[in-house]
Amino acid sequence: MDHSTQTEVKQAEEENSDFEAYVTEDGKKYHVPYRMIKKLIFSNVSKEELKDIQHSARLQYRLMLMDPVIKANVNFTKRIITILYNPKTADNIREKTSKEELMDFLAKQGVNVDTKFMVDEDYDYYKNLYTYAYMPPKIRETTPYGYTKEEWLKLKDDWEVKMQKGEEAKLGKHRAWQDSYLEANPEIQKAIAPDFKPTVAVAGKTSLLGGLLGKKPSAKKKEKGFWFHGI
Amino acid sequence: MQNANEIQVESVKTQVQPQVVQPMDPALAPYHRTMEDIEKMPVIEKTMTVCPECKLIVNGIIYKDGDNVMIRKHCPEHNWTIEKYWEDYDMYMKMRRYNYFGRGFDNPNFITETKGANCPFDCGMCERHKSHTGLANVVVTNRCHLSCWYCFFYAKEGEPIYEPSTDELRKIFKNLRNQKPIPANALQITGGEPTMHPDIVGVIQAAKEEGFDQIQLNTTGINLALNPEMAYRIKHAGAGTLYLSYDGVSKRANPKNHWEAPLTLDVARKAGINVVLVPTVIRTINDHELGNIINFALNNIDVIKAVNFQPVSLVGRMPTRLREKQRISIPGAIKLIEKQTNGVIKKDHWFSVPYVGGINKFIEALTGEYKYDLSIHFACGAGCYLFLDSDNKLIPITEFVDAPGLLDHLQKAVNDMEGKGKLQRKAIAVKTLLQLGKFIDKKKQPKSVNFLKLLMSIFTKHDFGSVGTLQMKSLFLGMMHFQDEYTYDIHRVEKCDIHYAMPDGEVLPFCTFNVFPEVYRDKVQKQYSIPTKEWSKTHPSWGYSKDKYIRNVKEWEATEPYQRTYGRMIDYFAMPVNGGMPVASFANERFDGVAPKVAPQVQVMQAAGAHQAEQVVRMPAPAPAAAAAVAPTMHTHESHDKKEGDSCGCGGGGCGCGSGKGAEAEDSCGCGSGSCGC
Repeated sequence: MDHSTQTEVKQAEEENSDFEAYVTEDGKKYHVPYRMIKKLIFSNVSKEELKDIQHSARLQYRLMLMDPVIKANVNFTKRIITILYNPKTADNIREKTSKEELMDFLAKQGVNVDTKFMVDEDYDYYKNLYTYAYMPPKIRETTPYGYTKEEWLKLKDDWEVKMQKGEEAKLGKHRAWQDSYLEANPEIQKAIAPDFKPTVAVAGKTSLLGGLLGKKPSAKKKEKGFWFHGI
Repeated sequence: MQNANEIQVESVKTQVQPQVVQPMDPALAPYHRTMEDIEKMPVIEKTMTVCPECKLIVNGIIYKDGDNVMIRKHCPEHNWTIEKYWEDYDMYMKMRRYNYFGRGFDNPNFITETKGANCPFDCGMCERHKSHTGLANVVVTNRCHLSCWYCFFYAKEGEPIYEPSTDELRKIFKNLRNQKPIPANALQITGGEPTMHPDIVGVIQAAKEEGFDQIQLNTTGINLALNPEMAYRIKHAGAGTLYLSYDGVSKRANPKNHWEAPLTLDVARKAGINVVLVPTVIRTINDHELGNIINFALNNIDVIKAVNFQPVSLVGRMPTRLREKQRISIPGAIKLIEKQTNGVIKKDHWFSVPYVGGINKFIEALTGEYKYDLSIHFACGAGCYLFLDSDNKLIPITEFVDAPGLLDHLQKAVNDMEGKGKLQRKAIAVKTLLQLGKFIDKKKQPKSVNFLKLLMSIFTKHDFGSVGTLQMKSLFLGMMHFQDEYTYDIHRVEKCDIHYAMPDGEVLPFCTFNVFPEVYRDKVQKQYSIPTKEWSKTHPSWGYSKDKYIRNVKEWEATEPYQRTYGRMIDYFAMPVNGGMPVASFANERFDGVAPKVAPQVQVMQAAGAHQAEQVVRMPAPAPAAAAAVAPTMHTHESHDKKEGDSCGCGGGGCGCGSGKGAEAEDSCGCGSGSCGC
């Protein structure tokens, strides 16, 4: 952030000192810097001015470089430019702009939009962008390798139940491991959990045949081994 | 008679040295051919890339130039860009065969309206992405106690602070765990310096509670060395691995944490945390130490489980000559390792990361359950397991495992299983597993390992937990080359499985998040940051300079862990069983007349700010006064008096690189930085 922008933020912050930058969900506070912003849509944009897909993508990149622009999309095929921006009227401390400034910017980039084909509407950042990204709906069903969709759908319910049980058991296993860690390291236990009282966990094993038949080991005290993750 | 001017001209002519045409460094030749010559080179494949200057999406041509694989692109405004893509053609073709398309998200956080046409500027992660999250990165703070010259990941003075609360981070973790069909399972907590987060233990705990199996901490290790109790708490909370930045064994190559690393390793040892060394490899800066870094890891194999080399990603604008000089790719680093280890670790020993996908596919086809899929692009990463046998012999895994044969064998089983019922699949699996022995040369395998049994265990337990056993007796060597604007290849980005989860709920591949920070990383973090003025109000004891760490080199060098770690190293490569040739750059440090001091047992994290210090319960120290007398102290700028020889790393005694040249001129001390963290 350059100093001028920083100063602007500070000024805006003072001017909007009542802005609540947090939302509360289930009693917990989350930082959400925007609420009601604007969605500006230009349609029927000249294909000649957009040039091609590559130049449209670069225009999108250049729009995104602007601090008050939260998202931008330049669709060459449909000749539509969509800009989510933080309007001057918004009740928050972030950088702001107006549709006129955005149109000027587009004009400087060689794209002259027509206000006849312009929609500038309210857009709920929290509901439509933030909440969507945190709770995206499922749009398709991929299958495990070696299974058709039909085969997979027959197995799916059992798998989901198994996953759910696994998730529930996982934390218990971790707690058991935590206890065993403290038990095995009395010096560490003294330092970080002086009131710790040891409990007993049961270890288990799976035989080769058991493994092939899908049997899983019972809860172990041991932590799972290290594995690299492509990095 | 000549006039004065003519004489002068003549004398100047005689003084000028005859111009000697320097022969072109063959390694740089591919950069300096005519376009006519370049266009005659055989094309390997075509992709989309970006112009490094204006970010116009342009066609990228990947072509063969001698032993090199190069990428060329043409921007109508900025002409041609030529860059090394992969410094070994044969290896490129060998790795390429393991490429496959994985699975993205069934519930993508963002839907693109342009069907990928604007990629990589439509990222979020969209429905077109081709890998699930293999490793999720979450930034927990942008504060850092160092100020490395090459790093863009930390807040400079006056810049807003990005430090989400534990609840906010838990929400991000939940989001990652909600990914379908394969929830993110491995998490890397990163920064800034993540240990600067005031509730780092709570953050790890939250991640564990949300169901992450693997939690790594991407750290310099300095705060953990100074505060061992934090390490114990972190381990207890659920972090299993320190992803430790470590650029070389020598002071010169690793001014960042050379001095503190020995104590960090000791602390990790005691806490039971595994360490992955992460050297960023830059040609002409630390590329001469790659073999020695492996040797260093072997010396500490009880705690160091992997070395993950990262050939430098030259993000940001830089002069062409410097870029050519510093560029190194995965095979470039692999070939240097072969040379520096005298052929003990050969280039043929490495396999491409998506190779592992073959094993994964087999388990999925057998069980009908989703498994973790390492479906990244073959050019992004490579790996090799190196066993240290009981007689100190070093044995790379591919010396005794026929890796390509094994993969073909498993793939055949996957094909055979298609459309079959559960019992038939199991019969095929049993038949396949019974034949595994023919891909393992038992005579060549380490005496301490029964690899067939281990492999059977992986397949029968249906997860990779068994690999943990493998790790006990081996060192994993990894390569991960992140992209930059010069090497950018959209085919690689769309297969990336190292993802950043952002505070706005979106998820991004590493190489869009970091290569275009102006529209992703910095932009979104800034939106969710707190201006310093506001931050100061809620953190009254905080100050930018208070965050910064200054070392006392002499004090560190006098400690017992330092002298033990750097003074008594074994050169494993020089052992007769490994060929008897010393690894390149090997040298033990000498400490004549300097008696080692006891390592510190406790240090309060002053530099992390008082609010952080309040969070930790102090470990009972045997004798605080005595410990303070022998332990390296953590100076703050307020307390530090710049005495001569008090090498704090600020140029007085140099950056600690040992050259003693100080930092009066760029790179004068040779640490490659021209800056030392102050």
